[in-house]
Amino acid sequence: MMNKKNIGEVIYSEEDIKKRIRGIANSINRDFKDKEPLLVGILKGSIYFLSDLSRLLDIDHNIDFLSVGRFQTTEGPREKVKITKDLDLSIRNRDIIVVEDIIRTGLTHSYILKNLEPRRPKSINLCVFLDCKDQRLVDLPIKYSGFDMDDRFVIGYGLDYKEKYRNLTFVAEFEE
Amino acid sequence: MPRGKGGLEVFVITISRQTASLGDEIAVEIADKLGVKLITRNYVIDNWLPEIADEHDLHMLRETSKYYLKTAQNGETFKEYIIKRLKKEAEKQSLVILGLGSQVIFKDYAHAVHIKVICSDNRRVNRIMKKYNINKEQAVRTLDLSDRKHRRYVHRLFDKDWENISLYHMSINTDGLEISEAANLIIHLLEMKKENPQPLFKKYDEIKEEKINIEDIDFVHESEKDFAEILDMYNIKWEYEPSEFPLEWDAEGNIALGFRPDFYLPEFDTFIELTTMKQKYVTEKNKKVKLLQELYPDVSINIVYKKDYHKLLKRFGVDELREDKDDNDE
Repeated sequence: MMNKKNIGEVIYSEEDIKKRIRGIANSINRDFKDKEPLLVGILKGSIYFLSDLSRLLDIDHNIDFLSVGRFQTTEGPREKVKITKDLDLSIRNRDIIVVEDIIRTGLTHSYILKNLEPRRPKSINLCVFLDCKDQRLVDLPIKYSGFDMDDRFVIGYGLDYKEKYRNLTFVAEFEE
Repeated sequence: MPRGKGGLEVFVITISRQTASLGDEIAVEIADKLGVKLITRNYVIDNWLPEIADEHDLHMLRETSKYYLKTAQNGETFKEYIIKRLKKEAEKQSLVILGLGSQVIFKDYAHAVHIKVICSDNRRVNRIMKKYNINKEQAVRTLDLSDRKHRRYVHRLFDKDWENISLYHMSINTDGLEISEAANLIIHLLEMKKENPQPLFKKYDEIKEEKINIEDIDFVHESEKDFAEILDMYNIKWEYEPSEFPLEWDAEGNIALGFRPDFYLPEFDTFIELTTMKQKYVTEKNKKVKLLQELYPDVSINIVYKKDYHKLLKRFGVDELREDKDDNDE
């Protein structure tokens, strides 16, 4: 049984989420009509969002996944960020939609974009489930946004606490 | 990274290979995977050289490496022309280049990765036998001739030994390696080099520490040093306190109040100001930022408040929080 003691106030219910993702899917269906975008999910947080979004798209599209992690350098005590799981598909001349569960500072996503841009996609946009605009340090091309989020620590719908609670169908505040 | 057309970062991967080592296939796989242009000898002969070569020249260029040293119709040697075109192309877009002595042409290029692909003779002979449906003896001879041609081309045109492994960042033996595995290895190396670009070759007097060392910068607060380390972690370029914005002037026009944001991120044209000190100082700083935004509406500045800053440090695994030290600052 799932330990529910850390699940606090529900911020976005299953119904809220369904409704909002339908709205995003409609926008993508409209914007990419007659195109075939590639949805790139950033592991692991985006899997539920990407799955639900993908199933609501009427247009042809492909999906692929990317994972970013940290590794220890030989140069110093600090870690560096790197791609730990690269895309399987080529993105050259493709319309790319990077799908993410949450964007805070934007540092990780600026790294991802810097990595993808040299591969010469036709276009590249971000689609984020939760957007923490107040914490943003760098500008990003966020085209589709699910909900604005404040600085609370949240779990559910892909978001985890120590790898748990990703499978909640709603987004809730984490309680210590 | 240098930026090509459209401001995109560009890089070069050169692949030198033994015949039938799968180097050609690996080059195709990488170019496809990264979505970049692949340049081969045939591409150069079919697309570039006809501009300066007649049919006889093209025939000779296919046959002998010596001919690349001949002067073409435009007054340059074919070799010089190819080098010029390759370098020009590399300014515009990322490239995977197969052969052509490209490991030497781009040896001083910080954003290049040089790969040599080799394989055991047995496997190469087998591949040649299968490919051309010839017997073992013929395959051995074919390989020998082909390897000799490769070696001669690099030696004749660039006075370098093709076998010298110091010409390459990495040498890959495809015995027991799939094409995709070798391609992934090279792409991983490229990702690492993107974060720490430097040429494979440097003149002796050029070999010095070029990277900004955080320890050499006199940060006012430890928190700023931690923040610089987070930016480094993400390979985000930064400058520490590069500009001071005048905010108030006295009657004589002298600057009475200025503001120097902590960081400038050139890739985002954004300043970052950390406010990790006590609330009373934050109010003063907020006032300065507000003034700056009024006076310089085109300047983009983001403020990181103490609460957010510590969350940031925690999330990025910076072990020691600087709260107490910074509370007394400013």
